[in-house]
Amino acid sequence: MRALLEKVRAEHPDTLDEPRIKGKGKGKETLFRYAGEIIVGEGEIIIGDPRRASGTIKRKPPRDAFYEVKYEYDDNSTGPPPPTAVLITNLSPLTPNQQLRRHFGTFGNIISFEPQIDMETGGALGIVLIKYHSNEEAKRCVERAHGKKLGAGIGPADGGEELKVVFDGEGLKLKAVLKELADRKKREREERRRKEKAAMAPTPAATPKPIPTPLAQTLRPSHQLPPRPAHIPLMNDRSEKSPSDRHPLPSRVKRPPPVSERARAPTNHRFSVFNDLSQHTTPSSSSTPVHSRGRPSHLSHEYGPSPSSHSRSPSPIARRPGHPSGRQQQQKQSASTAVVEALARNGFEHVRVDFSGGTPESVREEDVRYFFRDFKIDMVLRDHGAWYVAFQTSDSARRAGMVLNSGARTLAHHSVTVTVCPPRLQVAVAPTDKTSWTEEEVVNQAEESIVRELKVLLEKDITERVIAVDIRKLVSDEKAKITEMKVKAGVEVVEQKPAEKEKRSLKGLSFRKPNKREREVSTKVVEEDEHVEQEEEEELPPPVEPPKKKRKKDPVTKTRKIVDEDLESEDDDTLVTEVAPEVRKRSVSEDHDEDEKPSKKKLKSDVIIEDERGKRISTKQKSKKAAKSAVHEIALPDMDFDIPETAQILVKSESPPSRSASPVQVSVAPPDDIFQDDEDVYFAKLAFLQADVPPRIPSPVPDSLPAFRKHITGSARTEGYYKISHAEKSAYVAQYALRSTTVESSAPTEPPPPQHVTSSRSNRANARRRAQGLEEINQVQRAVALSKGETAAAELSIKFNQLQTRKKHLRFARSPIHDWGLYAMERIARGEMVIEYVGEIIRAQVADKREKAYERQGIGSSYLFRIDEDLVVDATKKGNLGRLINHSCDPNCTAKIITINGEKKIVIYAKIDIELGDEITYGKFSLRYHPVHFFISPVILDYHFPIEQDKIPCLCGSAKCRGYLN
Amino acid sequence: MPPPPNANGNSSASTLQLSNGLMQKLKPAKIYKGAVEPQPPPTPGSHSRSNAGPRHITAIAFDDRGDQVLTASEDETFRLYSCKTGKHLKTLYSKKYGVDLPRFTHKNTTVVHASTKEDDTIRYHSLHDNKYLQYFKGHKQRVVSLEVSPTDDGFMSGSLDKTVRLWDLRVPTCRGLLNLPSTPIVAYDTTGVVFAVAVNNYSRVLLYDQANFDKAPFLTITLEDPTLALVSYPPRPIYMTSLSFSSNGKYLLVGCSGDAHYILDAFEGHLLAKLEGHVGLERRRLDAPQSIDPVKGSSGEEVSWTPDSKYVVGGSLNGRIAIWDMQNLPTRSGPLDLKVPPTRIQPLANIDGHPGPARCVRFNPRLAMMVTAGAELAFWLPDQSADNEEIAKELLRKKSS
Repeated sequence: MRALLEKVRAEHPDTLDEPRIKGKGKGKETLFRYAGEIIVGEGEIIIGDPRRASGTIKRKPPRDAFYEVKYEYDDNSTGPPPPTAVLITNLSPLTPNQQLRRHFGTFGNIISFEPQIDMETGGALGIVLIKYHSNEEAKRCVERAHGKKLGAGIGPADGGEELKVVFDGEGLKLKAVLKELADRKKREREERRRKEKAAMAPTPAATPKPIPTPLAQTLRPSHQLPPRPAHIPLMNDRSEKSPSDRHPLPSRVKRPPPVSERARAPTNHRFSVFNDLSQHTTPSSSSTPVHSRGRPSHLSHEYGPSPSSHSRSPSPIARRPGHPSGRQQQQKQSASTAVVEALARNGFEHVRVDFSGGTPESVREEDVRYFFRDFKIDMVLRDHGAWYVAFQTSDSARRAGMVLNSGARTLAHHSVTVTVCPPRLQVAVAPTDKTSWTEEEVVNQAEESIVRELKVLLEKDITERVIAVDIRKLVSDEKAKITEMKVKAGVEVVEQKPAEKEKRSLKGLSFRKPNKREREVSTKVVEEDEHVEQEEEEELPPPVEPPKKKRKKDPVTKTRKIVDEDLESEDDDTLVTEVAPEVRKRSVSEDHDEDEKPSKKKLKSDVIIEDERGKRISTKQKSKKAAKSAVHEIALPDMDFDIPETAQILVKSESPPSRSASPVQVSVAPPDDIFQDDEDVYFAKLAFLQADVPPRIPSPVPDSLPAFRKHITGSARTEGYYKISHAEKSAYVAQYALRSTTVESSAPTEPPPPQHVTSSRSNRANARRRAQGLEEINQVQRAVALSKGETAAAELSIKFNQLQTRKKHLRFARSPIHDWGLYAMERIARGEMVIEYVGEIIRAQVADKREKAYERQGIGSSYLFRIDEDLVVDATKKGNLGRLINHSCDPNCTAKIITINGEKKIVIYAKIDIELGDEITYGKFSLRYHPVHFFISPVILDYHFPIEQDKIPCLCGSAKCRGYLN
Repeated sequence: MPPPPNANGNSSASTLQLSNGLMQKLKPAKIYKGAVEPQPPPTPGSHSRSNAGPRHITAIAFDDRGDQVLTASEDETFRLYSCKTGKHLKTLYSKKYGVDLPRFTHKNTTVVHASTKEDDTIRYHSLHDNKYLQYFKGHKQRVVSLEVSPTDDGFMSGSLDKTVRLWDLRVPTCRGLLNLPSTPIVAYDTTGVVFAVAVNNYSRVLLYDQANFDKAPFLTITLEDPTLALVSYPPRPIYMTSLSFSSNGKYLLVGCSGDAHYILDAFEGHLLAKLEGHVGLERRRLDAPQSIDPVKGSSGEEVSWTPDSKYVVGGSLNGRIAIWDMQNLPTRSGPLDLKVPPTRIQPLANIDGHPGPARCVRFNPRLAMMVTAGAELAFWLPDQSADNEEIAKELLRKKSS
């Protein structure tokens, strides 16, 4: 460089236009070159593409492979959050649910456990969708369980295949798997039919056992049913506890494995014989909807109609002609269905009145009407269990529940429980619903009628048992008899059945299974006696459950409880009819199909006939047995003899009538060992699924709860401070749950026509208060009269009188808007004074200081109410109920500042007519930031919400809600 | 979406080859809504840009290893993100000078960037200690193109003052100066021995030998699109806003502010292809009227090669991301014929992207991820999750066997 510089200097003295060397001093010179000018010693520049000069440039090969990256899920991520659910396939269908649960519970906190069942056969598919609490747990599950076999202790002896565990965050894979299965099955079936048709055509007689009557069909598959119970989704996760190990599946193991191919093969075979049947059944199965989620709704849809048509209303006993209890039951049924219909016609929420000591006959409708005199009653209905009151307006029921549950009033000298029930028609609108509406409605109605009937049944049971309290003792005495009888009965049944078989000239009927079953039963009955005591012990202490469940609305859970218990007893009935469950199932699909294809009526009637036959068998069996134990039957009319009494005894021990008004813990899923075998459990759970749907609307069901916080430290106490969101709270705090309902109900509510209502009650209340206040007013009057003139005293007395006596009967209670709220306990007409806002009157400066102090102390709610520029009412420490009034964007009250004898008072006036039980609200608005309004509006409430901070969400839930307080 | 069961960190990172299927499955994995500070509410006295809409990210740059991406936005901030974890690492402010066209040097903590305020100095900035290391003074007007040599510490800038300056990071004064008749856009070949200068208004692309750029360019390409004459007469001139060589050096991508980009043969200068199917970024918003003369607009960073030269990814004014397949470009030989219309290539995929314009679209040089930016920043990853039905079949196949 230096040399070059020197050279340039020597070559070109600075005489040129543009010096090639700029800058002075050593190392600071810059050598310039213009337009490729060359100097001596430099080579001539040839302009050319340097890339083409061979070998001079080595070009890196372009990158071809890119590294894969994965991002953790955070706020910026798109798409669904990391999956918390895993789909497990390749499970042995024989593995019991509890063991699966236990096994997969070791990976983390299971939120939901959904074993999939075959929609046609009800058999387990060996596919389970497990939702964990967090992604880590799911990941752990996938890492540790994928490709592994279930442990030796788990699952059947053969060990099963290797599990396949994949993430399935949104259940899409499950859906795809089910769809694939359905497709595959359809294909198989078609193929087989084609093949068999080809085979059948030349040699129809070659079929090993051509079965001429449908009855055979219906009976045969019944004992080939796979052990479904282990795979029925449990609605309430109590199965961890349920001691299914005590019956370590002796009955299950004995059962033939649920090889669906084997089960289906003969069936299809027969279908091909009966052309009409095959035509019908095949499309029905292929059109089986594949639902991956929303299992309850699906199940209820699928199996909904079945109980109503078979197992429930035509209960074996009720069918028997001339049976007294059957007739009575029918009457009651008709009464309750009438009630249901009437309530459905009403369309609004209604109220159910339960008497704490059973329903006394002495209560008349007038009493009930009087009890609800403050509300606009549409109709009063009763069935033998309870009274139902429907109202003319949509929110009356809610308000009535609020007011009347306080226990102040008695209905004809009985204390009652008032339960608000959701409107009849809107019940069971399943959120994740995929079937068309018409179908759904049909199913819903069926469901409801079932539930209603079940309630009726149970209530009948209870009343009868009130009379016969010592029935339990009797039962245990009868036990021995029953066991004897059962052995005999078992023999008889065996004898009976072949007889029938011959009568109908059935072929290929194997009674091996039923025989075995009977034997099992008879041996088990002995065991059951021991179990009875155990189970009573188990049931009486509350099962291990999170405590929050107990805080739920008692009446609602109570009704569900009733239903559940009833279902248990009903399930015992199903045991009898279970001889032909295939019939029932087919007819279910028939019913289902009928909605879709009404043209298949003829087929349907066929099947129903089959069903009747199947039923007849069971009733015949029973009549024989019934003859032997007449005493027993009178005591327990709908008890079945085919089964041990465990379930029955459970009912009694759990629901003594005196407890009906007290809170009962939720225990939806009974422990598995109540049931004798898998099928019982299966049907029981089906029934639970249906029974669960209607009561779910009023209160959130445990399994639909959002995931509760898992305490890392193991206890909530040691957890430190953490915030619980409203959504979480609403799961177990009634007032939060109410919020959603108020939002819904408030929207369509129209303002009632303005009318001035003065109830006798309010008059009386006023009179009472007037009398109370008279004394002190007199004193004040006297004092004032002494100090001032007569006129002043008169004026004051009126005003003061007004303020004191015009106060309304109010009550504070938890509010859906904010902590506490004030509720009207009497009707308040528009313009009437509601309450005075009382508190310390302080100067604004003091208020500012205090406000800061309160904030420091953590008093979150502001009770400062500004009277004028320099005075503020502080109701934080001293005050009256007025301080509890909440804000609403659609308030029913306004605050006015009136001057009484020179003193300014804040008085809350009703802006509209306030109905009984309505929460009193007024529109607070922050005027600190609206100085213009300061002098215009008489109300100045100083809610210090700094505008620059986060918006404070308004929770008033009114239709006009602005969303924020500031 | 499920990661493979053995996916534990980056240690066992598998590699992907870009394919049509993969490119079509690109999905935004991260969207940074707050990647640009919103404009402060206008104060009564100041009259701000009217109807400009939200502020944008104007340029993005990857470091050499593709681990980090740096955004420069109209809120006068640099924001550094990790491409590996998808996390925002750092925000640096340059309120005094403004930032545009940040380019990583070969060290992943230093960048050079153009200024938008004060003067048109190019600044050499150290990210880790947030200090300026060097100012490169010389340009008299706004710098519109800035490229770092792929092989050494040299870099090159084109400015509205109609000059191209060549710099060295070690020297504050420019190493070379090229006077041009119009606004130049510059690009280095991947070997660093050749650079291209696009001269707007003349529709010429000049290729220089890095060593002898003060002589005449060794190749002058005229970019003339005969198909434009079919649209309007006289044809709307092409306004070139970006220029980039493909990594294999064969092609030259000319990004324009209009509704088409062009692919040139980098050796012969044939016009090979016209990339269509997007809306040019000549305007700032879709509802803004088009000017009569073509302008730069918000164009400049919206189109780029994938590092394997197989695809071109480009943004659009309507926020979509277009992916053009470059694997079967036509070959032309023989003398240049400006009348031969280019092959029109429609995008392989036109993916829904940003709500506003997609101003910056760049594919990571090493990782299988793409970054796009407009009013928000998005990281795109190929969606690896297999089809649910296929998974189902897979699950059941093993089961039945």
